Amino acid sequence: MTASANASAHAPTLSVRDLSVTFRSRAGDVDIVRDLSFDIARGEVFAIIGESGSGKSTAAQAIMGLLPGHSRVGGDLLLDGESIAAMSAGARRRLLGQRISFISQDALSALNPCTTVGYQIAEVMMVHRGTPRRQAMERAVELLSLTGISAPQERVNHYPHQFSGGMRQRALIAMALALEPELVIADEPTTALDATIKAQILELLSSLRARFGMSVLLITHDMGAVARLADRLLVMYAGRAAEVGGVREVFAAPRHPYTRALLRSMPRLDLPGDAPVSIPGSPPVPSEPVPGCAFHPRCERMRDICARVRPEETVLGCGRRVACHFALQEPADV
Amino acid sequence: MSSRAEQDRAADGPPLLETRDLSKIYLLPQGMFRPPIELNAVSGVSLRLEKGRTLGIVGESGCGKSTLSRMLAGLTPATSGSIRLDGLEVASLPARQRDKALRHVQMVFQSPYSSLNPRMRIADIVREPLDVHRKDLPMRERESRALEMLERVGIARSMARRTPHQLSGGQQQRVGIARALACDVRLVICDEPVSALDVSVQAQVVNLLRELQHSLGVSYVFVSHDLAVVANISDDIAVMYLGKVVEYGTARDVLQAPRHPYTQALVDSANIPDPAVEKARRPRILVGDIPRPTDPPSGCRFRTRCWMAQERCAAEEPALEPRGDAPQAVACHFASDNGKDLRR
Repeated sequence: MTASANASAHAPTLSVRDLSVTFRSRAGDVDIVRDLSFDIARGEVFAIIGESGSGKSTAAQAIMGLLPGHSRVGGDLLLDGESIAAMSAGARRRLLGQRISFISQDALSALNPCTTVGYQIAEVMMVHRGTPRRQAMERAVELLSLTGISAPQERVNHYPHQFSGGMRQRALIAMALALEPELVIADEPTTALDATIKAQILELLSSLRARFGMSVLLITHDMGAVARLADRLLVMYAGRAAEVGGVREVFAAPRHPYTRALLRSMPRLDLPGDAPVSIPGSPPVPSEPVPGCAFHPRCERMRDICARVRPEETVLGCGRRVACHFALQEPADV
Repeated sequence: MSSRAEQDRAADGPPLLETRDLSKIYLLPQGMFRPPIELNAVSGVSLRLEKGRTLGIVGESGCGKSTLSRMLAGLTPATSGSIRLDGLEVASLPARQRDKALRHVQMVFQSPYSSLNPRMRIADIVREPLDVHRKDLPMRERESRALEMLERVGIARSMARRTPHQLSGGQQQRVGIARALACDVRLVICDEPVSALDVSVQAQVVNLLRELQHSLGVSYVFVSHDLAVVANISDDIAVMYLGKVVEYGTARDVLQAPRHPYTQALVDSANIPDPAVEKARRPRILVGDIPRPTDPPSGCRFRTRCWMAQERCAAEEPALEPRGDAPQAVACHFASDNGKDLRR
């Protein structure tokens, strides 16, 4: 990897190396994330897609350094080639907001109900940059207007409960952009929103990315949003990467049976006659790990080896990696 | 569409379900000294559903789809209007007779876990409707019917003694479906039945509902915010906005050539899981938010977010009717010129 002392211009915005997260509980240790590795290039939208319990949100929280005390995080995180995993808590905290920022799914609980939306956006600049309050509030108005909130002069003095769900999400985005970070982590940013509002927010994220050139880590379960917004994706299953690659390549020819099954299980508005093909069974629970390949009980091309041996990642070139014993075979061959 | 519906009427008598001008007004108390505010959750909804078919109801939060489904299932009394089951008016029946008539109507809820009693075994949960409605059957018969129903939805007999928390979300929803179908059911109201489930499990439940319809001949009212799911299972679709149906017709007509601007925006907002399509297309993005249902706009309720709105829209409410050459009913003054070239 890049020498950590020399933050080279070629280094990815974020490199995640063998990230593992274990939660300690009375019932024993539970592995939530295992050996997760990926790079996010400058200006790239990188999506992690997975179902509940896949560990996608935990991975995002580990990158933010926001996991609770009973968790153990292993592996390395490089921001612009510089390791941040070993940083002190204080130094790590200074990164948040400045160089990495976060947009959460639940905008209502991410905002403080007792202060105005404008002040919460301004506070980010006051704390990290020492911007004088008046200046920070002016910038908050600009940011609200940038994220498409009408009458921002007025809205800046409103409280979160006076905002609609879509507006709150816009306010969170404004806050995340306040210090022009290199990396924005968006954890299910549209899941709680109605369809037409979701379309607005996806469009907003796409235009802001074009304007500011920041990298985005999009955590989602929504294949449609990934198709719209992301450049590359990582499909996560039971805490591990099942498949990594360019969005166009993976959607056009998924190599992991889980990716293929997931795509086929989505109802498509453009193909209403095609009934979705369901995946049998349900996603595994982290506290009951599956031996071998975690997907094997639900897999259509399962062989004896799958139940015994966990597949290593097969590298297929162009950043494409697939964790399946049969990654190199065409689906029809198996 | 109307010709087909008329044929059905001629052949089979009245439709299984028919609503006329169905409305629900909630009164929101404002404290002791102020009059309550009226919330028109559902306004003047007229729909019909034939035997063995599926009517999809789609809309965003506050559109009244859940209130409508609760009225159809008899869980919420209607403020005005009529609900007919096989031609029998049920909305105005006295409670006891209404319950008897609505025995053939059951509901599947959004949250499988909170709609199942956590302290009951799943076999007992599925047997309960039989205990209520089929006391004439001996206990053993009711038990075996419940187990049979569980097997039919894909839950093995060996699991019948489990309680809901020992099941996955998809299995819980299967139990909810088995309970709804246990007792001579003819109409199942499914209120967001897959919204709480993982993507990989959603298709299982939708396909199960489809299979059961095929083998049992039940009808569904399928309510969802997810247009792609509704499109997949429905024969007919009603699109709702702020308590009103704005477009109503066969799934094919409504989705392939939507005429109401709101339906067009809804279709456009559904992402296609294909980056080649998605990255090339320029979806129409609506401005603004859904207005508060307590304070709907005058005239056409959609006009505040509509790109075609004119003065007429604020003054005059468009009726839901077939317009121009469109086979479906559309509540928009400009529907006949709109959307002819929108097939995608």
